[in-house]
Amino acid sequence: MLAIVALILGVILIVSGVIATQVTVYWFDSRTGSFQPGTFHAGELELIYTFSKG
Amino acid sequence: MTHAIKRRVVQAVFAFALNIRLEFLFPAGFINAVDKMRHFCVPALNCWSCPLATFSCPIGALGTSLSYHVVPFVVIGGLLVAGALLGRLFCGWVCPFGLIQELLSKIPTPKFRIPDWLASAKYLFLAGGVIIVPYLWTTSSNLFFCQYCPAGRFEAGLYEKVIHPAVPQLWRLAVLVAFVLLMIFSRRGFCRAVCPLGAIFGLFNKFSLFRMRLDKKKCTNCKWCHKVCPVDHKFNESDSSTNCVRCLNCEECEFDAVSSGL
Repeated sequence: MLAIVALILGVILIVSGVIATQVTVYWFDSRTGSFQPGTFHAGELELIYTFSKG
Repeated sequence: MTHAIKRRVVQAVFAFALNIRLEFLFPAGFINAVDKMRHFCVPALNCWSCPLATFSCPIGALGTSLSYHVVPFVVIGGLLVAGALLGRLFCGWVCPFGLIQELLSKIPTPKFRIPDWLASAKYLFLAGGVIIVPYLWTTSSNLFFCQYCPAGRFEAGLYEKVIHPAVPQLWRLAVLVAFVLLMIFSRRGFCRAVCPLGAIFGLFNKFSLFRMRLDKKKCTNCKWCHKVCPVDHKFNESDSSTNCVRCLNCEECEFDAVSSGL
């Protein structure tokens, strides 16, 4: 039962992440010492790809 | 083909498939196509900084995303689906770093057993090194898991050392040497006590659709399953332990006490 719930939740999260067309990222601003919001307009998969190249 | 050889072949095939960006072997078009696979994570510890890596690492993606204050839905969803289906089966059959450890532990030395209480340390590495530290102090912190992950040091760090020899990485090399010693003198000690991905999948061992089962009526407590286990788990004492990597070696039990399936 718990496995089925985890499966359904997992699929919902994957679909949500894949269809997202923008992700709000909070970048650390060293000048102010705080996190600043910024929008990444390519969705989460593109973000992972960018991280993997970084 | 015996079970042990079959598993080794599957591990080798996955190790190759997950590290297929061999620029000297394949044409540029193929490499470019493979490059796009880095959009996705694979449920195994295979460093995405390695120039050969086909996919992204879920632990690297999780920690890095959290360091930018992004909740990675796809990564978490993927881990949920993979774990709910198969639990730690990926550790035993897919993970290239598991294969490296098993090969290192073949070096004939005395082996010490990681105690069960120390095996819980992997949850500290998961909570601290992958979630809390990146979220609060970003990935530049030396306590971020990727900074000392031996898979990263092994697969990407040594390569970095070759192309950028001037960059001082002494403490990272020291950490790698410490982990290599752990792998030689124990059986998959890293998987048992440190691996945060193993910690996540281990939780699913309790209720995943794919289960390992012990028939207590058939079990004679001969402890043969202890001897064949690559992580020193005592299967006859617990058939759904978070430490079991589901290599299925113990299914070869001569009394048919161990079985697996959905």
